[in-house]
Amino acid sequence: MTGMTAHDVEHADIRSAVGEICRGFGDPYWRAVDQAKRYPVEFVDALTKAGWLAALIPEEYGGSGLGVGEASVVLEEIQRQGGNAAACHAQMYVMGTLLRHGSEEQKRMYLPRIASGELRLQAFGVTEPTAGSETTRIQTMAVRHGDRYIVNGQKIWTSRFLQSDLMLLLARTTPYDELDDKTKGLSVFLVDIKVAGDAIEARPIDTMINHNTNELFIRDLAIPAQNLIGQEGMGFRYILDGWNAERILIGAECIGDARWFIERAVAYAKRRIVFGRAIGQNQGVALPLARAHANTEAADLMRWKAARLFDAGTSCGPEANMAKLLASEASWEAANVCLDTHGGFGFATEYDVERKFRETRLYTVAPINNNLVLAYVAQHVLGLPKSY
Amino acid sequence: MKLLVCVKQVPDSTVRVKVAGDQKAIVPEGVTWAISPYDEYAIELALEHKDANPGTTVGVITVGPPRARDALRQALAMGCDDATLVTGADVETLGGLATARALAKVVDEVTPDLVLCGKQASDDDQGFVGQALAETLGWPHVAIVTKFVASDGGTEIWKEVEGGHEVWKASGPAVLTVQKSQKDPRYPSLPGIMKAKKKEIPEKDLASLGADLGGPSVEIRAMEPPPARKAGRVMKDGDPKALAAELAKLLRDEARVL
Ligand SMILES: Cc1cc2nc3c(=O)[nH]c(=O)nc-3n(C[C@H](O)[C@H](O)[C@H](O)COP(=O)(O)OP(=O)(O)OC[C@H]3O[C@@H](n4cnc5c(N)ncnc54)[C@H](O)[C@@H]3O)c2cc1C
Repeated sequence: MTGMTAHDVEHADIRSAVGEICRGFGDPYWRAVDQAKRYPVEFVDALTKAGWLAALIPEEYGGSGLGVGEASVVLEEIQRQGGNAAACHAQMYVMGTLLRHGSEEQKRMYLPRIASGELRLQAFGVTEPTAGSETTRIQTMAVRHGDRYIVNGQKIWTSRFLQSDLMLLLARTTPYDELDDKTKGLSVFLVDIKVAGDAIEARPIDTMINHNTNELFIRDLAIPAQNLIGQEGMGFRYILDGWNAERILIGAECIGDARWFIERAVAYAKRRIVFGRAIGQNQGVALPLARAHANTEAADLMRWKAARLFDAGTSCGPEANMAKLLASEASWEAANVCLDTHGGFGFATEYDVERKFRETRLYTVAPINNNLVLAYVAQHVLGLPKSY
Repeated sequence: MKLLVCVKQVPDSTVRVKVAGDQKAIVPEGVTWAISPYDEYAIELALEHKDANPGTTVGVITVGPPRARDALRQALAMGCDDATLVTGADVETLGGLATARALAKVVDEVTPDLVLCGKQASDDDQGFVGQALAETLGWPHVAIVTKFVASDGGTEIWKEVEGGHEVWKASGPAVLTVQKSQKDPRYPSLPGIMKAKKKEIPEKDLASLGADLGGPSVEIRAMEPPPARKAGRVMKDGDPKALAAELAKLLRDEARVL
């Protein structure tokens, strides 16, 4: 694709190495796992073995200590090659909460094994059926009994639970009504899924995409107190800290998707002859593609602005949120244009457009809804009254 | 054990090469370069040996233009320990024998226990340099190798033969030319890439090696792309029985293969 940005060149080594792995898993692979709704275990294994999912773990804990900017290139490249990083992106960043707020002992115990891929920490139980976007309203309760917490409650949309060894769990440790500061009273726990056994019942949710996600029913789950991350009651703060990295990484995935859509659509528009000429010669086809490209480039700038601030250790809440907002909109726009460009063929599974179209649609909704991003910008950047 | 793998940088197999105007070479612009596939298998074989025998070191060497440094960097990222680039004027038109003689000078200096090459390079498919290197060094050579293991006082070497393999034994240093084996070459790992970035790749000047670069060589008189293939025909609409009859007729009368 022409119009390579400086960053494409800068991270050419990462792109080409990840691209080499991706080329071993082409369109037919992704189509087949999508149709079978099967976890792409071979792809995830290849990425894990080559160390890509440990990119953000510091070298002293067995990772490569890359910045979020570089890590985002890994995910972008997977999407750009037609893959679906959602199967494993969380293995990259869920550990961030443990890294930033865990004790040295917890880090030494888990991070090296997460880095090697021996332990998969890619499930994060936050959302609940009755709380939705309002995280501070979650009801799953953890009550301390001596050196253990006993947890009861329900989670929904807990992705990759069945493909994880460890789960990060957000649960209430102080009842909502007893709190003055409603952002307190939640705590983060590291749950060993094997040890939990029957105390967590997972029911897979069938969705319009190949995304392994579940409802969890938690009944008298005993968690050793030493698996509490950081201080009790500070959990909401801790997960907020992790959100900026997640927003930037997801934004980069959307950029990769958008570029895939535009590349495929442009190739098709040059090739498809109707009325005796390439359809791309019609402005009705060409201009939406040009606009989608411009919006992708603009979103990419915000993604890099956010990534640079993050990696410099500067606060970047507005930028990270806006990057996710703009990138998810750009990828959705590109998906639509790509489908339009392909006409009827866009609906045929063998063109992969409909698959990517379904997959990229997720990102305006999750991990956070774009409405909530806008509400954040309105309140925290523009100083408008809190709307919810 | 000290292993040395000789690699050649060639156009990536996915690249559609174009012949230059003078018909003596390919157009280098727009070409993605890669390690020749059999050389990658040689690297993999060496690295597997290293995985199983931690004392092993794997060096990698290429005789080529400065861009071949990328191939060495890739080999380092896969897990090789050190890399050497031999380069100089006219290196791109160097013949196989001269290349082998240049490699032999470095082998003399490095003194590896085994030298591994791919069985042939994917650009010219000559399958010449490995053998010529063994001849120059006066070392034994085993071709089409898929495996080797250190054994008492030497190395056992698996050589592929029709329907199975022979096991050869080298009691001292040898040159192996490596065949595609079951295990695909590993991807460069992220930690490998990070380490490779920091490694120096020393450069040796071709002319200063003291190798005889003369002697018989191959001159390319002209290259041309293969004739374009005619578009295939897809038969899919209609009654399968009628289609089969039509296909049989075409194979007999048009393609004349029946
Ligand atoms: C495939 C998938 C995977 C997921 N994986 C995980 C996971 O691994 N872990 C996890 O914890 N969660 C996960 N989620 C959950 C996801 O984070 C939530 O779906 C998302 O945060 C929105 O919550 P909700 O679905 O309850 O929507 P709701 O909060 O019910 O919102 C519904 C609609 O109302 C709008 N809305 C609500 N409040 C406001 C307001 N104040 N102003 C304007 N609009 C508003 C929303 O924007 C949205 O359009 C996943 C979701 C999906 C679909």
